[in-house]
Amino acid sequence: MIGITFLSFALMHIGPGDPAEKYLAGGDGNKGMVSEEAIAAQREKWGLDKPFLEQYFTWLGNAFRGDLGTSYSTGRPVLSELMSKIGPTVILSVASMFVILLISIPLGILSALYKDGVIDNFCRVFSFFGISLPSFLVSLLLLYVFGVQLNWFSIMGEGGIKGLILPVAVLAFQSAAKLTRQVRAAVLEELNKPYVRGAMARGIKKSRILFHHVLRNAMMPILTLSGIYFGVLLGGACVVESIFSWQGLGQLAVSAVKSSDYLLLQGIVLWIAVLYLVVNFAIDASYALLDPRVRKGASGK
Amino acid sequence: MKRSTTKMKKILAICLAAASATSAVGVLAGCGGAEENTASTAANTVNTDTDTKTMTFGDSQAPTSMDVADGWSSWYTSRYGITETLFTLDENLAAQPYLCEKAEAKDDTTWVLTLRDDVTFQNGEKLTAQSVMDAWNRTMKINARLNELLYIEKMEADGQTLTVKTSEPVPAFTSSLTEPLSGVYYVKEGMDPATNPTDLIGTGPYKVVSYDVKQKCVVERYADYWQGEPALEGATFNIIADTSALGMAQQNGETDVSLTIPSTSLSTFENNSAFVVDGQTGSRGQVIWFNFKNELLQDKAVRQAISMSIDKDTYANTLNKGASVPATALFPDNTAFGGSSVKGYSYDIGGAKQVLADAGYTDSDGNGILDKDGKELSFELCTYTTKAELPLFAQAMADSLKSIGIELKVDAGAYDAVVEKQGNGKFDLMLISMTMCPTGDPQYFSDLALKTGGSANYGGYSNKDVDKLINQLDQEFDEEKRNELAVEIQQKVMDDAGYIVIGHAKFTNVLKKNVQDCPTNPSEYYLLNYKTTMTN
Repeated sequence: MIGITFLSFALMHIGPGDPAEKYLAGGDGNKGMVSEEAIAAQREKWGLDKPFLEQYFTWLGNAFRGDLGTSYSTGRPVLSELMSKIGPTVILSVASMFVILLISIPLGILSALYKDGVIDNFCRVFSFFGISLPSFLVSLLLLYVFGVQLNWFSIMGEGGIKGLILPVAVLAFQSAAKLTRQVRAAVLEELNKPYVRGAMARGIKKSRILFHHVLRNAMMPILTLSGIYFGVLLGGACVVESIFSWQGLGQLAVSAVKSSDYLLLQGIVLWIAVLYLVVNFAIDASYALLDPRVRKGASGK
Repeated sequence: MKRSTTKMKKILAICLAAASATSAVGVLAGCGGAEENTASTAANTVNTDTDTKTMTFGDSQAPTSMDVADGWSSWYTSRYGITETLFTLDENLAAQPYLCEKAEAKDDTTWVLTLRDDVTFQNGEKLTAQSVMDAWNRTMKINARLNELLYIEKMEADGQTLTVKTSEPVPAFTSSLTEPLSGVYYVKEGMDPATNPTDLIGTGPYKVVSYDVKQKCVVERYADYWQGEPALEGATFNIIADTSALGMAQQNGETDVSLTIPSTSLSTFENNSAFVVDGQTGSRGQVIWFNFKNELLQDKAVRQAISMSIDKDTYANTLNKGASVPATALFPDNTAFGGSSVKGYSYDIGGAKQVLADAGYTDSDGNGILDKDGKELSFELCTYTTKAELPLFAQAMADSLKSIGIELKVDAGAYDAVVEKQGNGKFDLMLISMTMCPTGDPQYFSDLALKTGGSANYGGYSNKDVDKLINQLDQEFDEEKRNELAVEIQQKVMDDAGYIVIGHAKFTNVLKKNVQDCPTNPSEYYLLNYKTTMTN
């Protein structure tokens, strides 16, 4: 954790861009509008003139006490900025994850069962598009078709379930494309194991083999992957959020980068780091539920 | 062959199935939307009564709060029709009295401002000299930039008369009073517009209803506005960060007026009679700095040859699709101190070759690059990509310079990297998009970039005559003489080939055809005014 925060803090300081200057001088090419003295004074006010390590440890000390500092660009506490944006991102992520699982798991299983059949071929094309089309392109295409041509959706983004549809469609399209293939691979691998053949030979019903053995075992890698996808989603989808005017962490991160707002970025990095730890922990814990071997191993110790 | 066609058919069928599935989902989803759509068109047609009309604006940029004193937020509160300034800039970037009736310079460091008697704040309180003083005192405390413009040492308020003592002579004082940061707002203990948007009370035609940071701002009519009752009931300013989405919102009619639509998307609207594309030349110039520490660039002939090999017309009209206008000298041609009365360099490849030949440059080793005394004419130009036209211009320059025997390597990166080079001086040529006359006055760019040791004189340009003229400009209070001085300064810089300005960007708004009285102002300070309305 500390390693991550240190690394991101260092990277931001190595890169060019001065938050004090950006705050006072505004956008590109306006640098001359404020004097060097005013910028220096602002840097001093924010403690940016101090040595790098001192800045980092001050930040770290405050962070341990729950104070993430005040955003340079907005003047509001970083924590409240994060809090106001986490909600929309969580909603978007949960909804997307739900749709992703809803699409990937059945399609993946069917593709594996009827390998090279119609569904499998359809999924192949589907994943081919999903993986190769960049999200900004898909987003803009959807906006153009459904927002401009058909006029079903507002470009500005709208609240409620309707506002969720397009961004979720993009995010789900992308991740589901990959996950479907991964589910298929996992199920296929399981199907090819000798115990399945053995069970078949003993005349056990196919559905029983599938639901009681194959899927149960195949779920382990799928669960791990889903966790990773969910983590990525919760970190905020920068492109999708910007295009659909979704007020989440992704957009916040973009604007923080633009204004060299170190503290705000640091807050976002911290949130993502914590998130990954929590998600991974949750997955590890769920292994125990799904896999008796892990359970046994744990109690055996 | 047959096999592959059947396979193709299969794939096609799958694609079709997928498409119909998506559209089915869309139809389901669209049910709720269709209703709303008819409702909104109905609202548009029912609105025959002027009193209930509202308008929607779209912009990709947004203020950080509704506090005038906060960073650059004042530019937005001014555009949104909430706050106003003592002077205003007309379409030729000349300062005109606004909340102020007149401004007189009593001596070099004393300005006497007489305010209008009929202006009220949006809470009904009268605008007085005291209220202006209170607003400026608060802004100055929060934002250092205000006093970099006004140099206020002391203020005295008496009725409608505000006497300002400046710490040094400020001839451009009235121009500086057009900067929205000097906007007037009502100050009272306990009011903090930075955290509570409705605490911002200005003198403009519209007042704040709500502001969701970087999302949207809603304003409503202030009926007792001093110039007359505003035509609209209110307006919404939507912030759409993605400029493609911004353009689409204008296309499908959600937005009535859009700002900052990129030049590459403008053609969509230019070819559509439902829209008006309104562009005004601003003072944001595409400026090239020469580094005078570079031995070869110290040679005037080289700088002249480079100046002559830029086809400014083609750059502006073709490469930049008309989103900028070519510059004759430094300042925009449409200003009173503009470059049209200066003799600059016209595009002349043959002439450029001649200049270099006369100066003794030859291609002695036959590699296509001219040299003299063993030194090759090879330079690096640094620029950045966030302004899309800059790398295009740079590449075009590299091509035409190659034809006269100069090698130009283009380094187009992040803006921050360019800023770093401004500090350490490690560049040969630098191309930047810069606002040259933010308050419609030539002094700003002269002080910053042309004067020896100026804070934006990154390349170390220095000419004693120019310095002398700039010092005169800094002291000169007479408007006409100031303009003459500015022209003289530009001529000297052009004679030196000390700087190149390729052109000035247009500030372009896209409006629905029925929008009225919403002129584009080159300063970027103004947008919604009390006359702005829509016909049916």
